Amino acid sequence: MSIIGRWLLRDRPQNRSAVLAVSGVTSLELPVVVYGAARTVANDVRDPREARATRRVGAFVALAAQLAVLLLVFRLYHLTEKPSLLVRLLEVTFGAFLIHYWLPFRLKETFWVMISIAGAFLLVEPRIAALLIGVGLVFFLILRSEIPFPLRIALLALIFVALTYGCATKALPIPNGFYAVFGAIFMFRIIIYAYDLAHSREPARLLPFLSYFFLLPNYYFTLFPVIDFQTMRRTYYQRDIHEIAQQGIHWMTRGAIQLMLYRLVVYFNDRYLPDRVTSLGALITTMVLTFLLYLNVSGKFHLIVGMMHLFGYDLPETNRRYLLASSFADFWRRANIYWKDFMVKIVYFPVYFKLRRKGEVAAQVVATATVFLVTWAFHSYQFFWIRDRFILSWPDTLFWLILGLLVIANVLYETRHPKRRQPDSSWRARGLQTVQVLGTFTVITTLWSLWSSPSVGAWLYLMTHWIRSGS
Amino acid sequence: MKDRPVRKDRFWRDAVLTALTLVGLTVLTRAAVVMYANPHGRFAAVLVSVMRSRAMIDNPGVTGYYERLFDISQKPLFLKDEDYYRWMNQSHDRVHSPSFRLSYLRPNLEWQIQGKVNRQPTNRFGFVGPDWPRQKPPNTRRVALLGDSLAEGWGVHLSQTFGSLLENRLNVEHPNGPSEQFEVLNFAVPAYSLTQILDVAAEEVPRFEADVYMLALTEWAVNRNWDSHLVELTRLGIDPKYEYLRHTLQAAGVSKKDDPLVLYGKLAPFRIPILRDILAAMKSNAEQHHATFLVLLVPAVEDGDLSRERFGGIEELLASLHIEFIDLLGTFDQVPDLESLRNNPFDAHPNARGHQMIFENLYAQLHARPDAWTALVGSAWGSVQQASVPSATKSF
Repeated sequence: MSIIGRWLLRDRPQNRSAVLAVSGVTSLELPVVVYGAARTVANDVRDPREARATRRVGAFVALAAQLAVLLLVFRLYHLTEKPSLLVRLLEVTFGAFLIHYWLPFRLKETFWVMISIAGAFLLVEPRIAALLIGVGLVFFLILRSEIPFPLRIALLALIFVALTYGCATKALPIPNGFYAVFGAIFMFRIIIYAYDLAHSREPARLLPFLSYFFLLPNYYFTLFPVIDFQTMRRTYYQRDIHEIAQQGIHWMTRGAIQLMLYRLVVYFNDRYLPDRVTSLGALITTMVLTFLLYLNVSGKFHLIVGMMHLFGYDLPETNRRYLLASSFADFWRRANIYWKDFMVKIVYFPVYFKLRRKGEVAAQVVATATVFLVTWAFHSYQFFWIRDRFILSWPDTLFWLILGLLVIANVLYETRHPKRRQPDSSWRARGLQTVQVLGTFTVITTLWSLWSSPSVGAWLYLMTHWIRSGS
Repeated sequence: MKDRPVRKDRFWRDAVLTALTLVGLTVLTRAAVVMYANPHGRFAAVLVSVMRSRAMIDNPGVTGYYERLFDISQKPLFLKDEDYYRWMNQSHDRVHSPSFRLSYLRPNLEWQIQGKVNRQPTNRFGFVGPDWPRQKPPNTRRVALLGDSLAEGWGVHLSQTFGSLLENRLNVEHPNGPSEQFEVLNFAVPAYSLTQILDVAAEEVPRFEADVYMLALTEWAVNRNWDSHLVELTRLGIDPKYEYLRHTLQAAGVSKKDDPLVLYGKLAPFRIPILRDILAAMKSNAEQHHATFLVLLVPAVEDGDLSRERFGGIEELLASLHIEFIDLLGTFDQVPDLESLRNNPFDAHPNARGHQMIFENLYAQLHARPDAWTALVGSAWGSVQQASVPSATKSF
């Protein structure tokens, strides 16, 4: 199995199901995925999650107090693009938590779904909210139907094609604001849901479907982490609710701080118009600051997943210390982890297991290359739903091509030189690790500046202007 | 599956640490106000104010993949040019046409509605304010105020713009004697780039016999948006009209088929050379019409020293062209709460109080700068006895 595969299974046991499902291993080994809300595993066994939802007044007060101060911080710092809407979202979310906490376990998820659906009417135009829910229900009915699975997928694809046409031409009688939110909700998660359904013995069920797609924060945040359906179901109340909620508040706080830092990055980067980058120092500064613009994405993702934690969804971290990545493959694993998991599940493993018989290395290389090809295409697809146009530019293409090649080279190197299990704490090892982190940071920052440039020519000008202006 | 024991200690430790962080962030906003008053704490206070700034979110300066993904200012792409004009001409306030200036304010509007707060009327020439006679009245010194939305007075009443305040003050003080009146004609148009402003100065102002061409230069005209008009011209295949612009576009290798992003990238190296050509042309144009050319460096209500940074290199450029200019970029330096000077929290255009401050700083600097005063008023400060009206200077 590949490095990525091994790493994935080591850190994320829940992904084992994806590996096994694709490789055709019997589902006896799969962890139990509860597709229903508060179903018990067997009728005579009490759902262990109920015990994890046990209420404690002291802990509840501590959580509520933190949420109150967090709301105050959001008000004081006017965070994100539409602060008043965000504060409204937070008020609804935090208010819902205060009720949700005290509800019997069997009602909790139903309540969350009701709040999420009602929230749609509060956060987007009522017409758009009704359309979203309508389309969602059509999707559900298609996926729940008894017709052959490929036909169900074809029907979904047909609806997507029609809406793509509507989004591109604006010829359908649909409000313009619909497409971005529709894309944010369905563009990727419907792929995961259909994939999981294809590998599941259970039919689609309404409550998990609604809780997966109609997530309250999604109406506001159109750039949304690609949450995995199985992970979401499996992690629901997998720990004590107080631990889960506390981690959520911690991540929301981290997200808020990252959004504040993002403004500082914008502020300091503003002065570096390409023709004003007249020294090496200025070039390095603007490149680093351009890379740090990603704080906007990671901050919002922390916020989103933090909110989900309040309602018992113990989802994993979305971004993990990506500035400290020590290799390109490591960066790929740390930044936007949900995307990496999505690609591994939907693209990497299917390709890898299909080609494995022809040779381990070849399978890894082709699977990784396919991941980056699909990532490139999906970024353009994402751009289309949010901006009504596909992005096909050389910087974008080169960015994913070079990053893909670097990750492939990295994976091959790691295959031939596997890391020791015991961490080496010698000074030499630490020094080497520092050099690796700095090297990765430098290359990623350079690549990021290419990705952010309007054209390859503009990037070359940025890179070389300081030399010409100094001479 | 056996549950792990609930780690209460860890829960409380995390809760306390998170709560302390949040309280710290809350306190920081209050502390910043105190820090701002102290020169040593000013920088830290500015950082806090930037972290809180709503205008920073709509900052056009950010350039990354995700910023472009959420850039609300991008116009939709149209396959046909006529679709573009049809879409653009849905505007209540503006007329769009395939001419060099691309758009102008619709004449004879009772009020403009764009931006909701912008309620100014337009005259029959398509500029803000009442109708002006083409011919300058006798004993009148005419000042043509050129610029973009900031000089136009975006979001404030016409009488509250710094241009109107200047006109009123000059007519109270009568620096050239009681018989001479001053008129400040507002030729500024929202969203105009410097290339469009140049065309107004060349084509419109001479018909009104202005004595002074006063250009209110903003950060938008010289910084990130400097080339937006040239990009639109190229995209729509419209002739850039002026020979030096034609040469520059040719040298940049731009094409109608280029994506707007690519066009911005191609034009980036030509910013200072084009600004130089335009400013030199405007000065020359004013001189040809026996008028003086005066430039004001006007700040938007930006956080920290953003406005000043965006003007980097412009003062040197003006000095090298021997153009008289007045630097007003420090107008808002002493104000910790910048949102109180903005039209709305996201909008760096000054409100009525902001315009008042710009005017007061301008007038103070005119008093302190005899050359600039003479360029504007046409006579030396104090050369006419009536200029020393005590009430006129009491606010300084």
